[in-house]
Amino acid sequence: MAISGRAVALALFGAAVVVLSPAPGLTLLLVDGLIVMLLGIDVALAGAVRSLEFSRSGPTSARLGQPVPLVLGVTNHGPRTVRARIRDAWPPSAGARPRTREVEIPAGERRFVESTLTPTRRGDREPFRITVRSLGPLGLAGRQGRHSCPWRVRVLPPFTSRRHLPAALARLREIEGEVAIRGAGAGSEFDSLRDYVIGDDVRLIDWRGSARRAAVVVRSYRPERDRRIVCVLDTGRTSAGRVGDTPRLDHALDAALLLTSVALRAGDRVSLVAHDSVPRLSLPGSHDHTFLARVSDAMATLEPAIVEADHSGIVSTVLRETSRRSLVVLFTELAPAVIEEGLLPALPTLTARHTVVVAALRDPRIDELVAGRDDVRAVYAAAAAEQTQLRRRELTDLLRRRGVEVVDASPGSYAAAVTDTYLTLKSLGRL
Amino acid sequence: MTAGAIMTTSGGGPGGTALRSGPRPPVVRRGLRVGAVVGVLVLGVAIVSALVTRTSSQDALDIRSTKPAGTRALAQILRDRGVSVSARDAVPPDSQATSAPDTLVVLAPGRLDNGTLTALLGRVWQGSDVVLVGADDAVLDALDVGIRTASHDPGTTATPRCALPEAVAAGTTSLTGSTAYTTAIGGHRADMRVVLCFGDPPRAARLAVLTPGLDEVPAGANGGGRLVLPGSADFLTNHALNRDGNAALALGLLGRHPALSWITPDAGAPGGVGQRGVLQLLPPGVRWALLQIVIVVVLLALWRGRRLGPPVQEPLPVIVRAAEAVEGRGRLYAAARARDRAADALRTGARIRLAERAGLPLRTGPAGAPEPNPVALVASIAEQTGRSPSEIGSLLYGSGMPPPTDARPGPARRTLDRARSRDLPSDPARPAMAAPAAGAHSEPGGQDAALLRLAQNLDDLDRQAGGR
Repeated sequence: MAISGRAVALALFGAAVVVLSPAPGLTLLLVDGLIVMLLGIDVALAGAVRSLEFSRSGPTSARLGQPVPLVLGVTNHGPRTVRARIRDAWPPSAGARPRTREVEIPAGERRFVESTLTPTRRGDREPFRITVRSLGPLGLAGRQGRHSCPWRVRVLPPFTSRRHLPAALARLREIEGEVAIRGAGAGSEFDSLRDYVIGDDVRLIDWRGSARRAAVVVRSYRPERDRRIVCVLDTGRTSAGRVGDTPRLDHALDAALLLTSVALRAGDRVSLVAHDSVPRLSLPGSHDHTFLARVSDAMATLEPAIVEADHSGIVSTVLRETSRRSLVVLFTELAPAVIEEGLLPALPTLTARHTVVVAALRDPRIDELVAGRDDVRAVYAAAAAEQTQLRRRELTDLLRRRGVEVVDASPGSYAAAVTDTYLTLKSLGRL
Repeated sequence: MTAGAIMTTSGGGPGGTALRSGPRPPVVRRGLRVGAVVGVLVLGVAIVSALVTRTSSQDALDIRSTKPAGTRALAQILRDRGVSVSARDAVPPDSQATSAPDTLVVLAPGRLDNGTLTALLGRVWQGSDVVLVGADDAVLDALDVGIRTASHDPGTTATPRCALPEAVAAGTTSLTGSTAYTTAIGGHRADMRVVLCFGDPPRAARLAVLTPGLDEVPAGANGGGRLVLPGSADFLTNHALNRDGNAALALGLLGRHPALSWITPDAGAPGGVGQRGVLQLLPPGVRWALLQIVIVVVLLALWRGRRLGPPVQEPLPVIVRAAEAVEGRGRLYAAARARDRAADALRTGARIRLAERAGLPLRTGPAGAPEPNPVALVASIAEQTGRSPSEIGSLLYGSGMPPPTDARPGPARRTLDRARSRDLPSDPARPAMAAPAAGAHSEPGGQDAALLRLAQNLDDLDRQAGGR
């Protein structure tokens, strides 16, 4: 049961009638009796809400930043026309527009109502409930009820670093081609035999092949394929900190997506691990091309947890996941206390079996602070920022001495830097 | 798309995370405009109606006015007949009237207080004629003469329908008006004889004449006083006096004594029996309408209060800037005035930047931090900048604050000057921070300025060494 503005206007008009009436008391009773009667009639004649049936259609996933057009189908199984205002409620971060719609559905027919979601955050978005207010023929009052029509839109990471993909793939082709020409590159996997041209290293001449054929042939090599890459995402408290307007975790997801797509093109197997105090996510390695979509999908619901990351736990999870030698890319923050207490003790077991890259995000705000000279407070802040950078540098140095590759890049070049490191390691044959 | 499909109405929404809540400005503006128009209309109607009522009531029943609503004609006729007519704004004191009976016409008797009305009734017993025009229930209750206003409609009959000689003589009159009188059922008759004329007597009469005493002497036959209650004074106006028998009735009722007081009591006089508050002045329908307004408000609350489903809850992400801890540490340094620590950090940072630019290798020092070779660094920088190695050495590896020997112009310089002049207002002889030891004893502001200066000097060195 709900009344409309018209009922209020009618009652207000009734007040005017009462003022002007010679017998106001009686008029008041008559007016209000009439209003109550009209409201009752309207409610009785309003189309039933319960006999409506809802259905949805539209995409179930979209990248963050893309609008999601959804269609809500409303079927009226009742005997009367339903004139209704419908609110399809979504959480605020789903950005559903418009909020409410007016629909008129004759008995036995179906209408489609369009709405658009513009999500503002990653993750799953589910509609809350559908509220229907069906007004009677007079538009004075009506019935109100609710329906539920479940749906889920998974908002995937935006993958803004996709623009770096062509450049990274060009570099990948260059590495593969270069190794074929130079022959003596770090690639060690036998590719094919080809004719000798002047300039080739004589050590690459395949004498048996040359004997079998009438010409001198050389072996050509290519970078190893089917290598293993493990992307490890630290989803602990440091990953919640925002750099720019985006959490560190989202920057890491972006970089991991670029790395995954390049590595898949290069023929490597990529697996994904997310870990804070407990393992959050583990996708075993694969190199089919649907894997990128699966990675995106799995990443969508990953959220930073406000707990301290357990780096020794991360290391043991990685060791459990892969038995073969792999490239382990650890997306984490170079926070001195965390790294020194958590990661360093566990590092030797990891570096003994795997190549390790620590990918950390440099906060441009720290650079701004370092340059601050406006007043004494800014200088103190600059000193604090300088100290932070020194600690980072120390830590980087420490990790490098333990044989760990460290990527320390600002948000604009983070994903590209991680992928570059991977390509460099690949061209050096260190995978 | 089917005919019933509804297009989305929102255009390209803002891409940011901050969404506007509440009504949008155009809505607010439209609401203000509507409110202003309504306000102007209400004000206009109020002003116009005030002006209209003012002009209409200005001259009504004034014995000096010749307007249709005035009563100058009646006064003139009475004077011609030898009655002295005087206009007053209060009832004359009793002592004047004891000598000779006169006629008192009171317009708006509700403005008189209880005592005055009782005194007027006393004058009736003393032989005066008292005419109370349009007396309402409040006045009649105060008089307590067994007359009350009639709820019954007196009809349109214009004939007297009574035995009052003046009324019979006048015949048909245009005595109209809404107020009519009847005898109170079970009311106190106050020893007065009542004659009800015009309209529909005895249930509703437009004129009531009360004569003291219960004897059957015809009213007005002797010189005794009378209490005359006409329902309205319209028949006395210039406009109506020459119609039908109005003049005859008027002269018969008012011309019995040689003196007539035409009394219009002050509207502002306190204690009037008929005076009513604002609420009593409102028509009776307004109270009921207020009740109806209450119902409207309840309906309004029901309309606006019934929401289309509850707000949707959603867990919100933590929003914390990554650099917050660093900024906080900077503020802690500032609060604790940790100048030495800050200076150390600035120097170390500058050393590493310079070494990287000069291509010097960094080695891990005893403290665990990577550091360039001091000798090589100072020599390299001195070569690049042309400044003395000892100066560079004390700048990069010194402890405490540098002396203010620097004299470069520029915005930074001015900042320093300002800081210094604030800290050391009038003491040129003082060796301001000539040595770190002296600086440690000077006031904290001077130390802060020194830290700022150190940062500037390091920046200058950096710039001279070829960086930006």
